[in-house]
Amino acid sequence: MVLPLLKDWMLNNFNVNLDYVRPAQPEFSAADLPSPVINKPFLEDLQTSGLEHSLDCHDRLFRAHGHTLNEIWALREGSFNRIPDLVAWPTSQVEVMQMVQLANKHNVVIIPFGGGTSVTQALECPSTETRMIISLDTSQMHKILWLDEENLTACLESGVTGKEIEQRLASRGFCLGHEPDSYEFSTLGGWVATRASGMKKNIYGNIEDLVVLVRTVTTRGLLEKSCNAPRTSSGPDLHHAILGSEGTLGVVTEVVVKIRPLPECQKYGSVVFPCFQDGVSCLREVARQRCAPASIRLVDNEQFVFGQALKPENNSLVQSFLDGIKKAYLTRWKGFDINKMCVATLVFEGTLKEVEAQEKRVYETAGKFGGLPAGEENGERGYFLTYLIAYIRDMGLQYGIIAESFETSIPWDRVTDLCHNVKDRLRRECKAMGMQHEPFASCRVTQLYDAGACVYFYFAFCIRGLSDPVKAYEEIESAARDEILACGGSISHHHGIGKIRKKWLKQSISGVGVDVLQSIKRTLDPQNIFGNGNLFDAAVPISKL
Amino acid sequence: MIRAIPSSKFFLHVCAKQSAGWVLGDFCRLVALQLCSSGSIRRAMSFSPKRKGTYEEILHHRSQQSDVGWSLRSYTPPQYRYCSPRRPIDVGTAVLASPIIRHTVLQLSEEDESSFARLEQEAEAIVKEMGHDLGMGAIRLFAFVLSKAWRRIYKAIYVNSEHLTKLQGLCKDYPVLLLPSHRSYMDFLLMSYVCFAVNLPVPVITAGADFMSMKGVGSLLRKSGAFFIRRQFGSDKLYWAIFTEYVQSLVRNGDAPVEFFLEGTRSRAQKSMGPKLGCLSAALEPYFKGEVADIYVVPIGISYDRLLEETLYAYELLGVPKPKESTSGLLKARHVLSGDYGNIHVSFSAPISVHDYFRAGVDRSVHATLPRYMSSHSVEEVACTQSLAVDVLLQQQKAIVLSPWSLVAAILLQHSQPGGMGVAERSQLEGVGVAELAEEVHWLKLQLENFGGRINWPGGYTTEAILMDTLTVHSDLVSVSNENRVYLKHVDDVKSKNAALDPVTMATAVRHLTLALYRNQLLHVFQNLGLVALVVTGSQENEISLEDLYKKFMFLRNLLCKDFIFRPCDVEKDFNGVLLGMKHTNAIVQENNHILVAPSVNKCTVFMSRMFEPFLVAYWVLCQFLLTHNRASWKIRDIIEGTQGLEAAMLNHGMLHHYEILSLELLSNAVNGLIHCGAICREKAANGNPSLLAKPFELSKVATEIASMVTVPTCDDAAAYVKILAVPLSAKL
Repeated sequence: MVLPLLKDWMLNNFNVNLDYVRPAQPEFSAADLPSPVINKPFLEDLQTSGLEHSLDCHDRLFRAHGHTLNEIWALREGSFNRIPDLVAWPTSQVEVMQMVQLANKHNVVIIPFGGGTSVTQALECPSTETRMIISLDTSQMHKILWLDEENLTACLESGVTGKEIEQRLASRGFCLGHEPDSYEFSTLGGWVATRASGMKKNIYGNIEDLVVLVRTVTTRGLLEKSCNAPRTSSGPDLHHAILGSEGTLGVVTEVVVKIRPLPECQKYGSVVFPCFQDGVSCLREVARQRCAPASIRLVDNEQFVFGQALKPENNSLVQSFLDGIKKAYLTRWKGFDINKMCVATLVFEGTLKEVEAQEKRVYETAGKFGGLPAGEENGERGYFLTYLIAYIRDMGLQYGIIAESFETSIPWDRVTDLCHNVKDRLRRECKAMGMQHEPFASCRVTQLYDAGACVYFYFAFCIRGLSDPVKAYEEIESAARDEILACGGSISHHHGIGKIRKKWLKQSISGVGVDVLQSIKRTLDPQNIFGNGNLFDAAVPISKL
Repeated sequence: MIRAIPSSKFFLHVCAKQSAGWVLGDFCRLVALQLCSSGSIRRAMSFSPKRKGTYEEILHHRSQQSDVGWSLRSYTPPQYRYCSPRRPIDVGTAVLASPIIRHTVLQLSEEDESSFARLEQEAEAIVKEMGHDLGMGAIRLFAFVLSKAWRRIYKAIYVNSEHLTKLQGLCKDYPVLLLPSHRSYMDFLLMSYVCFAVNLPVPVITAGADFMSMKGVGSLLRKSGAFFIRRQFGSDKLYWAIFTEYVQSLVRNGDAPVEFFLEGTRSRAQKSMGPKLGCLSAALEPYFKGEVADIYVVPIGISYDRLLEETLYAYELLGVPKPKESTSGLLKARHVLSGDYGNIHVSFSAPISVHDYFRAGVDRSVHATLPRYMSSHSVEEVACTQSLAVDVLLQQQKAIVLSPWSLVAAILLQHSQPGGMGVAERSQLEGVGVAELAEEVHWLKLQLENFGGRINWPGGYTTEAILMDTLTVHSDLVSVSNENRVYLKHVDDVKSKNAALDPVTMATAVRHLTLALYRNQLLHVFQNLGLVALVVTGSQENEISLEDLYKKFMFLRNLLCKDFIFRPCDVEKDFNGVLLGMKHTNAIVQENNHILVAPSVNKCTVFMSRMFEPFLVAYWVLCQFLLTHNRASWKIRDIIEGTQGLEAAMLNHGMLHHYEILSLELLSNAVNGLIHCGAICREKAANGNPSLLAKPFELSKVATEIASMVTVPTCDDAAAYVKILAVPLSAKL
């Protein structure tokens, strides 16, 4: 694909041109990586058990990181001081249970690994860990165990990726409908462990709405419910102890999920608004009326302009001519300011009739806030951009541009202020660090709820002249998170805590809340076998003192 | 302004009452002055060049020569990026429709069962009474008329440009609060005029409701951006809600910078008064609630070489009812028209980012679990707001450019010998030689600069030339004879309400106080120095340990906390700082951990201690008054009037010679200072009214402490005079 406008956009926004390149370092060799810590008795037992495993350095490195900026940076220009010492590929729940028992017996750490798409350093091995670390890769557990058409449920193994699920279910006329931006790679188990959210949650729900039953292997045995009933009242829902546990309590092995018949019709759409505030007001109204289509996202002006820069090459003169007319119509006739307007992208799903009715209602509502329908193509490109953006980020690094995203959720009345304030904070922090050029700070509202919305921030800056770009980035993101909390936003909507947001957990859920989590951890994993160090630092067992 | 502490209410009340009439007169004068002004533009500007350092002249030196052209020029100030443009009337509509007002109305209607509709009507009426009506028409008219008028009376208006570019940029990104010092009615017209001239957005201004009732003037002020707040609205919840929401609506939307006066009212005594926090905390709430990313606060120091209200202030401070408007008043108005009022300096301090200021001390996320309309300030927010307010006042003081006349006034007020006739008296009878005065002025100027004061001192002129220039500006107060001697002018006898004050005493007091106003303008530079000097010069020992000095310094800071602006947490820093400065200028001599008294009693310390002496004397008399009158409870008004009477008696008998101590503001501050020190305590009387209780033990301790530093009459003498006074006084009380 050729993106002819991107070069100019980069020049304008970061003052970088393509002559400046920061090449990635050559691939790591075994000598560049920390040598494995070996627990001999464990290794012997493992070998006897016949479970598939590997001590190969590249297998280990691949599972030492997710996609957090500093991890990608370490791959390109840095180094790792702790990586898993061994990788294991169990193929079933039974094998997972064997693995966990072995680990528990020999006091070896297990870090469950799914798709490796974490953006919170959740996969990072704690550098202070002296025990042997096993990366438990679930990728060999990718079967659909059964499918119940009558109850519209399916039992899946946890290592199956989003893309696989949809492909296989589609072949039988069903879908799951859970589409996080990472769904090409991320796995069902990972979604459960992080409380994931999918683009089309308005129809299908988030992961916590989709699960009927979760099986988790802990050091104390299997944690599961006794039936596939849709809802139970039996004390606090233990699924919620596992949802969002980020691999600190056990390995999610099997999940019974709700499925839906494939929709008859799927259609993209888009609406342009004169300014961001109008767009937010429209989304708020859509949420109030509870008439949101499968997905509705509002991107701000910065991202709208960026999206324009990602338009593929126009081969035909007619097309660029038409683009010109569209722009003139909006700006001259409708009084839109090209520097203020923003766009909402839409996905409709359902029967033909339903989609039609939804479209009508949404476009009518948008009209009340000055929104104009802007065609299917713009909408589709918007969603495509979502998947593209991770690749663009990696490309940006090559030209000295660091980019990252973070998200939050917040009550409706604070959405606009949050967007303004966080973007302002990003610009200010960059300036305070002496950056010559303003960063690219942009946001979009990606999910609607009755009481609020999920907001996603994209942020990029040129690293030329910075001695430690990753540290700079981390400081800036930390300041931005402070600002989010100050504005009344949450610590995270769906990325999770991992290691990068641990410092705000207590503030977010209170000291008592942390104690509750600690006591669950203590009960399920007294030896801290699942010692990836996410969420909070597990209290050291008294016996060890 | 909003929540004047009870004991100072009395004073404000008196002043407000008196000034209501004056206001009208003044404004008639101003307007008349503007309309009939067509005279020639003052040319004599040798002391007022176009540019002085970072200061630029904006009144006379303009690229566009014609005032019409200038006032109608294209004016495109920066605008806040998230502002949705609206008409002034829409602000009121938005306020009435806001959740907080709807909620408050609902709550009130449930509480006291008054009808919902009536409350809504009331709310509408309040918004209507409050609302500004800022429009460029009025601004341009003012720009034209004021240019004409001011050129006749001012040599120059200087504005410092160092922060202007930054400020213009900030106006685009953040809401801005302009916080000028407030020492004249002129301040707010001047601020709008300056903003128009330097291409800043013209502010909306919080003004006291006493202006509002004036026909014509009220609406003209509204059109130039004023919105009106009642002076006191106590516990009126609806009014409070509307007021805060009105201010916040302006801040949130960033329609225009919001300007208000932290001190709440004009500082008649010409030194900063303690901040009133109502307006500031209301204006900062949008930041605390995360409604805006930041707010920038701009302290601005405005100084006038000569005040339009100088004698008026002296009268007000003495509590004298204003003379009726009369032909002579009109003549005086014409006098204003043609007078020479010297220069004005408007100094913008570096804008303060509220976010940076509060970053460490405030956790804004505490508001996350309450609906936004619910007003709540955390303890930390209140404390930080208070601290910010004090810092803004200090910045204003730092920014203020003093007039050489302040030096002259300080010197003229000084007494040549303890207990003897002061220069002020001498200069009325035999005058002071210009050369002698120039020498003193030069000396004081050096001290001022050593301790961080800023003064308007044009380069390339001799002290004598500058002195003569400032004497000309103040020819209402002083005259220079053919023999080059400076004389204070005579003031007509003045009648007081307080029977204990005779006309001659009052006349002297007016003369002293008028000078004291200008002297007060420079006191902040020496406030710490003065306190150290008082301790050192009062000492009977050969040496003072630093520890003792610090203790006494602390005592004075606590006592004088209402008269001067101190940061309580900076005591030690200020103390060390001033000691260092004094050592460097040889004002004190330190050996090991002791100050040697003999070499430390020198011109500098004596001058400074005398400058601050009147304050302590007034506090002392107040203590004596309370100690000799045995009453269960006091009203602040009775204490102040009684003390004023006692002071007058002592002045008449030559026991005291600081006529400025008759100032009601000083006495009001003294009461509050003594409350702060625990020598007077606040109580609620049986009928619910606040009353004060004197604590004899603490009072006599304070009095003794003061007597150890400054010369006061013996207590027996004082008691004797109290007895003389007792009969009429108690009859009156």
